Amino acid sequence: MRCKRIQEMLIQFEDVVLPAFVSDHLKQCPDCRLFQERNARVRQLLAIKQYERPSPGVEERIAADVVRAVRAAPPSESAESPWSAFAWLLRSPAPAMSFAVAALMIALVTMQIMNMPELQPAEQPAAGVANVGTQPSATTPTPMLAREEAPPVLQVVSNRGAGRVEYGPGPSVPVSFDY
Amino acid sequence: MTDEPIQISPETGDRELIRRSRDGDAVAYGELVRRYQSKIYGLVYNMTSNKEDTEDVVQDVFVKAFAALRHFKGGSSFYTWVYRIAVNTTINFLKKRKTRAALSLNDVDQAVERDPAYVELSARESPFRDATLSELQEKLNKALLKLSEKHRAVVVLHDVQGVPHEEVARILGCSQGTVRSRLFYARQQLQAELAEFAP
Repeated sequence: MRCKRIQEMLIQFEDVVLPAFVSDHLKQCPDCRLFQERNARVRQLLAIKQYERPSPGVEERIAADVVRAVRAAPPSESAESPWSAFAWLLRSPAPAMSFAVAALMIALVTMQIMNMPELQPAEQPAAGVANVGTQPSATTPTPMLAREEAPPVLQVVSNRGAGRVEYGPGPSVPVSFDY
Repeated sequence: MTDEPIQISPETGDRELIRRSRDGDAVAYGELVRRYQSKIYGLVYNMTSNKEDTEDVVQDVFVKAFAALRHFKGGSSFYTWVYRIAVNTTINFLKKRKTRAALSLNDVDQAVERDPAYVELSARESPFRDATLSELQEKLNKALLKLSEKHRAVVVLHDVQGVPHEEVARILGCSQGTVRSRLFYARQQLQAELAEFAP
C-alpha cells in the first residue's frame, strides 16, 4: 500500500520538486523507481503528439464553416432572449425580494382573472320563480318549481256536500268554482 | 447577424470579441474561433484519433459555444469554458458512435525532430529508434483509445496539451485529487500498452 501511495505522489509532484520522504523511498524501492522511469517514458512519448497538426487548410475551412453556420442560425439563437427584459429580477441585489414581488404580481393578476364576471358561476334562480320563456313552444320543457316550495294544493269545495276537498300535497290553495 | 466593418487586430482582447459576438458580430466570433481552434482540434483529435470526425466535432463545439455565449458569465476564462464544451461534446459523440472509426493520422510538424525528448528517445537502442514517426503515432493513438473517455481526457489535457492539474480539474468539473487518481490509473494502463518502448 505504501508503494501505491508513493507512486500516486509521483504523479502529484511530477512537475515540482519531490518531497524528501518520496525521494528517500525511491532510493530504497526498485519497483517504485521502475514505475517512475516508465512513467517518464510514457510522458515523453505522449509529448510527441503536441507536434501533430491538421492538414493545411483544415483550420481555415473549419473556421469558415463555423462562421457560415452561426450566420445561418435563427435570430433567437444569437440575439438576446425575449425574456431578457425580466432578467432584472435575477440580477437585483435582493433576489428574494425580487421573487416576492414577482409572486405578488402573479397573485394580483390571478385575482383579477377570477373576479371577471364571465367566469363567475351561473346564479341559481330565486326560490319559487319558474323560468318561463316569453315564447313558449311545444318543445319548451315544463318549468320545474324549486324543491323548497311544495306544490300548491288544489282545494275544491264540493257541491255535493262533501265539504272542502283537497288535491295534492302541501298547503292548500283555496279555489272556488262557480258552475 | 451584423457584419460591421470593425477592425479586429491580434491585440483585441477576448472580452471585446465575446461582447461583439454576443451582439451578432460574425467576424469577431470568427477571430475567437481562429484563436482557440488549434487547441480544441488537438483535444478532439487525440480523443477520437480520426481526422474526419475531429473536423465535424470541432465545428459542432464552436457552433454550440456561439449559441451558449449569452450564458458565459466570465467567471472562468473563455479558453476553459470552450474546453469544457469540447470535452463534453466529444465524449457524447464517442458514446453515440456505435462502431469505432478507423484511425487517421495527422501530419507531424518537423519541429518534433528538435524536441529534446524525441532526440533522447531516438538516440537509444530501442524499438523507438526503429519505428517510423507514423508507426509511433499509430501505436500511441491505439494505446489512448484503450482508455475510457474520462481517463483519456485527463491524459490528453495534461500529458499532450500540457494543461496543469488544477486547470484540468476546472475544465472537467472535478477535484484535483480526481484528476491525479485518473492520471495514475491511465499511466499504469499506458505503461502496459507501450511496454515495448519501456526503458
